[in-house]
Amino acid sequence: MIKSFINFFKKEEAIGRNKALVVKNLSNVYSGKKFLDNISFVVYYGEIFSIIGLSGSGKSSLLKNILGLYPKSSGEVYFFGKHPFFSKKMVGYCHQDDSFLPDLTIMENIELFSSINGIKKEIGIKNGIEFLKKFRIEKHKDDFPNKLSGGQRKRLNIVLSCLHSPKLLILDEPFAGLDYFNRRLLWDFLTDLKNKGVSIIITTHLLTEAQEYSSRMLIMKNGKKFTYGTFSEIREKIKFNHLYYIRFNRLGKAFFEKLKSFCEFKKIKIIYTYKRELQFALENLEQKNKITSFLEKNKQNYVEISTSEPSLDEFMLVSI
Amino acid sequence: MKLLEFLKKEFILFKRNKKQMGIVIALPLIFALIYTLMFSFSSVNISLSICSLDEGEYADMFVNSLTGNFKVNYFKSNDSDNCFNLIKDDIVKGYILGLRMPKDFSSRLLNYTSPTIDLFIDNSKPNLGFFAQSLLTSSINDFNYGVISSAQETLKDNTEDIKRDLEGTVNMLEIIKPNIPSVTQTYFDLFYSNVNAYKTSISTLNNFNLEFVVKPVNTNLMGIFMGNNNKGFSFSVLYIVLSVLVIVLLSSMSIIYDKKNNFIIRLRAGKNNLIPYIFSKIIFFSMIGFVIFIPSFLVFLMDNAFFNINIISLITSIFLISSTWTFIGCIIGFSSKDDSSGIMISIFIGFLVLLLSGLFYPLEFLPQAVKYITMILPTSLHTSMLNNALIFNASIPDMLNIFINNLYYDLILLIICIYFLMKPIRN
Repeated sequence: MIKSFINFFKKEEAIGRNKALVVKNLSNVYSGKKFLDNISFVVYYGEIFSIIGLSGSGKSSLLKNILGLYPKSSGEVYFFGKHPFFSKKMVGYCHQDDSFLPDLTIMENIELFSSINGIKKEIGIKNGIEFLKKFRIEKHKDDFPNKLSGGQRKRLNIVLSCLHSPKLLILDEPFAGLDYFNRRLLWDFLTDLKNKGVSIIITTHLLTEAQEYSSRMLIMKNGKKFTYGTFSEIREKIKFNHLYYIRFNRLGKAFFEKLKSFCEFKKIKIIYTYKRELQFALENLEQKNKITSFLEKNKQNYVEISTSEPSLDEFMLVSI
Repeated sequence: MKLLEFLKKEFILFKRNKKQMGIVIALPLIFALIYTLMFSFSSVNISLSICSLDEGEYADMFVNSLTGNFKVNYFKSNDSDNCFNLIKDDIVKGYILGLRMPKDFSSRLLNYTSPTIDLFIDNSKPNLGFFAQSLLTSSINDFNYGVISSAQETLKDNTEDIKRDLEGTVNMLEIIKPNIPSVTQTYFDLFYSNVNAYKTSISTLNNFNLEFVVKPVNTNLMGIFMGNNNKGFSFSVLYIVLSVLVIVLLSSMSIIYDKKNNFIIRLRAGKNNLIPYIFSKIIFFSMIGFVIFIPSFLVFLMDNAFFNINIISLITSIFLISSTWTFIGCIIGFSSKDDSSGIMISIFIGFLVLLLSGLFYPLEFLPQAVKYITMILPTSLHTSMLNNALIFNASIPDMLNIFINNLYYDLILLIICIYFLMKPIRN
């Protein structure tokens, strides 16, 4: 109780780069189940930060805890170095589902959400129209949202979160169900905001795109932080520098078990198996030679499909 | 600023939801009209099917006494079963009551013994029997009084004759008294005294009032407040029931709508939105409270209910009543998973209040356990608030205690509302 009272007025110490968000040891326990376990990370000014993980790994719960929609069991959250009570105004949040009123027109929604976000109606309308133009839905401004397609509705959702020009934008699954055109439009919009100094946090399953557009990321697994940092830092931490992909002519159960034990012993991860195809996560190419010599020794016929640098998608396979 | 925007949102959504508007405008009118008509019904429209097995004059007199008050289909028959079948046919056709008069109806009345009339009703309709019997009983009062008066006259005539005869006998005895021999003097005195006693008894019987035997004590029902302004008082109860039904239902639906569209998540993600949001609901639904009030009040005024209104107290009362039920509606909305469970709980509370409002059954006659439930509900407080403002012209200082008690309710409900608003959103 006393600790929370002190935290309420406490400011995050400004060290190094300016931090838009600091999360320290955040945990959430509900009905005896741990949804989040001791998560800490930092989001800096003007960066796109991705939170990735499988469904149910706790990405949305983490965002809701940060925003205070769930009561956190322990830990601290600071927006721009201040307690959320003093700094929430600088944050924009976009829920993963539609979060506008379907019986108000788009402009009426913009007016209402301007007020919710504590800005003057005129400013909200001006910003709203500008964003609608950017998202190419300006011609629908006097229509009801149900006239919009799924992708347009997603864009409207984001417009309504940005009306007050937040310094930190938190987007929960903004790309879910979007086609390439809509995704591209949204990435361009987010990159524009980033270039203007806005910090953006997104949760997504589109790992390759997240790798391309975001500067740093947090990979979550079962409510815990699996790894965190830039893509190369993560690669360094996981020690996964090469992806070795082979196909057997025939793969018996007994030999597969033998191969698994061999890999375990040599600290090589088999990250994916499908029928006779296998993918290995290698730290260095020497490990590849160890595998090939093991296969040759055991007289196994196989074809090498590829040896390549892993993408973020393959990193996710390691985290499972 | 935020409050106004939230209010604007409520108005736009209300304006665009034609069904909701229909409920708010039509429901009070329909309720008030039905309620006022219920208490000014005329029995002339009630149809009676009467079959008489009796050919005597009293049967016709009895039916004639009813034709002024009811629509009567009268026929005679010699067969009791045939009578029943004819009456049954009429009831199936839509007649409310059937009467079968016995063969000895007239003769029994002539012999001063009570005949029994069979009363038939459609027993598939609950409460009709009790209502029909009490209606018929009150309608045959005149006939009963006529029979009693006629019996009274016969009694008076007969006793008058006997009294006159006895007086003649006494006079005769007084004339012959001096000539009675001493041997029979004792017997004569005894006879003389007996005749005098008969004369006294018959005088008492002559003065005997048969109406007194039938109805020894009469009652006269009078209201202690403003004569018999029952309609004025019943308006208050009706308004409470209406506001519960409409406000609880609409406010719970409005919260569910906001929840379903993730509006509440947006509110919570922003800063300082919750109190203006709750207050916008209170103000909006208080306005709905006034919209419900006006048409139903006008219907009652047209129906000659009289009021002595204190406008400021009335406005305050309507605001407080609406706010309490808005809070309850909001709590239902917050705690309901979807529209259907919200509607179900709102209707449940609406009917609970309707049954326990005293509108159809007096609360004073309810069992103690049920009375406790009525004590938890704020309806009694609201009824007394409205009665004071509408009928007793009570000013704000006069009603301060009631207002403060209501504010306690509102405060508790506000805390519960905020608790639900702050609850973790797990979807």
